[in-house]
Amino acid sequence: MESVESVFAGGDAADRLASLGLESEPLREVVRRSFHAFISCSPNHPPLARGIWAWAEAVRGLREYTLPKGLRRSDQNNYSVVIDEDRRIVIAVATGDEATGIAGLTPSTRAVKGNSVLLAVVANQAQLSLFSADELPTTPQMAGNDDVREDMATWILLIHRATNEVRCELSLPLSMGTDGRINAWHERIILDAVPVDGEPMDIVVPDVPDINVDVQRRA
Amino acid sequence: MAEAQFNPSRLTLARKRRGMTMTALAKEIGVDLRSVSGYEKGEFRPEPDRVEQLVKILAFPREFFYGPDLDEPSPDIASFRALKRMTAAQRDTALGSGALALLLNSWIERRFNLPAPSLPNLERDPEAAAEQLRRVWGLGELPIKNIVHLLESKGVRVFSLSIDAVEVDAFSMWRQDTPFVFLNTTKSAEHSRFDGAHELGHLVMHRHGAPQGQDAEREANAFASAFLMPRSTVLAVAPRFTTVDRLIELKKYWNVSVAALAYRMHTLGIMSDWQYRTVAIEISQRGYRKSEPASAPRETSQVFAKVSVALREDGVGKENIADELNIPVQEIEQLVFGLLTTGLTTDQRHVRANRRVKPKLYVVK
Repeated sequence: MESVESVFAGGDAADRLASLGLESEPLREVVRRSFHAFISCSPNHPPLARGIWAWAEAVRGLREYTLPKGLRRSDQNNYSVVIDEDRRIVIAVATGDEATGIAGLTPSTRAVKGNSVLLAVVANQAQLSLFSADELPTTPQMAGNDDVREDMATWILLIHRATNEVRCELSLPLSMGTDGRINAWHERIILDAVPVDGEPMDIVVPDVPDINVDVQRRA
Repeated sequence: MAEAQFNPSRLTLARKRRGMTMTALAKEIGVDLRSVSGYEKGEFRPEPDRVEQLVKILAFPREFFYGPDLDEPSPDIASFRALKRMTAAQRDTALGSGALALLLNSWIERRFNLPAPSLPNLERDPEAAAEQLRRVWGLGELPIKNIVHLLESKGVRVFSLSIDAVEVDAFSMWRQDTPFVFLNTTKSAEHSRFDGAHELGHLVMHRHGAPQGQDAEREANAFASAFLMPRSTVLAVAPRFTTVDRLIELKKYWNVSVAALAYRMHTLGIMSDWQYRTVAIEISQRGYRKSEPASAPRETSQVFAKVSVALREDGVGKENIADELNIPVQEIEQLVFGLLTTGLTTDQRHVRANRRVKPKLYVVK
């Protein structure tokens, strides 16, 4: 597909974000929180938990950041977003593929992976039904939330966990493929990736010599 | 002994060491407050019967009360960690321990050469002071393997405080030119190590200023944090993102508490405010502030271990020292990390002397 997107990065990204009433650093903090929630799940948590928690924490973080600015939250039909009535902007959170956060590539929201227990259980919940087992919701459902009016632009905070960083962007989708994945973008505001450690490294405590405390009898 | 006079200051010390008020003591021995106050001011001496009661109630030997004045640390020269939460009685109990430690230290120093004090005097800038001290002592960026041994090797006399009060963590003081540190050994190893580094901070930064007050405490805490966890190593080793479970693994590098590591990472900007809050809450919820997870073995004194070995060669044990100093043997046990052993009886010593046993030398690591 021919790319028609405008990509903003670095200082341009900051300017474009400012025109939306947003700043880069707090959005990156939202991404950090989401990542932290993801890695805080233990092997004893159900495998579905971390994806949900990561997404939930991102939504919560986004709301804690934007609601004091006058935005409001909406959860109609479990389509969880924040809405800026003045600017007629909606912001949702989704997982992107590996092209997320890279200017030369076109990211896509993650594909739906097969049926899972969750899909069966919450099939009636538009948004959750688009979860894959350990990912954020894939494509936010534009429909199903009456709060989101047609004259509003829905931006997506796209998050992708790579090995050593979490890449993220705030982007305005242009079109959606037949499989429900967003595959073209009108605008993309690329945020600086959040660095994280890859595989946990082994902690090797350095070999420290013993101290000899000199104690001598007095003559 | 007949010539010796009852020493009022020693009564005060024994009473405070036992955490008793004058009123409480008066009640125990069945006199009015005025009498106890009079004994302590030296206005009049207790009757022999009363002295026996004092001996019983305060659990100090009779001879203790007839010794010369003791060198007593006063509240204004000692720096107490967590002073705010401490009662005056708890503080006095700890200081009483300090006075007995000075007595014991003189006894030991008459018989042994201990490392000479070599602590520099540093500016009251904790981060810089910690870095400077590491440089002066040639510690590089390595973790501090054993803070008690480090302190001892630099001439600090380290004693254990066995005080059953969570409020008393540690205290330190300069006595003439000798630095003293007292550590409550009922705390976790990590907590105690931090206390040791905290007191070291007071000794190098607050020798000539006031070692007390909130500023001094903050400075000593910041010093301990920076000294135990040097900035560049934490930046190099600590993950930018972490969970409490990972921190428990990571803390082994510096042998610090999980809470202290999280605090340091936040101070160095590795953790955001939000992340630190989340981690700190989880640390509390899991009860790690009261019970350290994956705790290391406690540190003990090398000085007392070596002194103990040497004294054993002579058949001298803690009871003998207690007898010479006229203090209860438990007091000695509590001060020396329980490291001094029981000596030989006089008969055994006599036999040993006749056999002309050649003293063996042990190297204690």
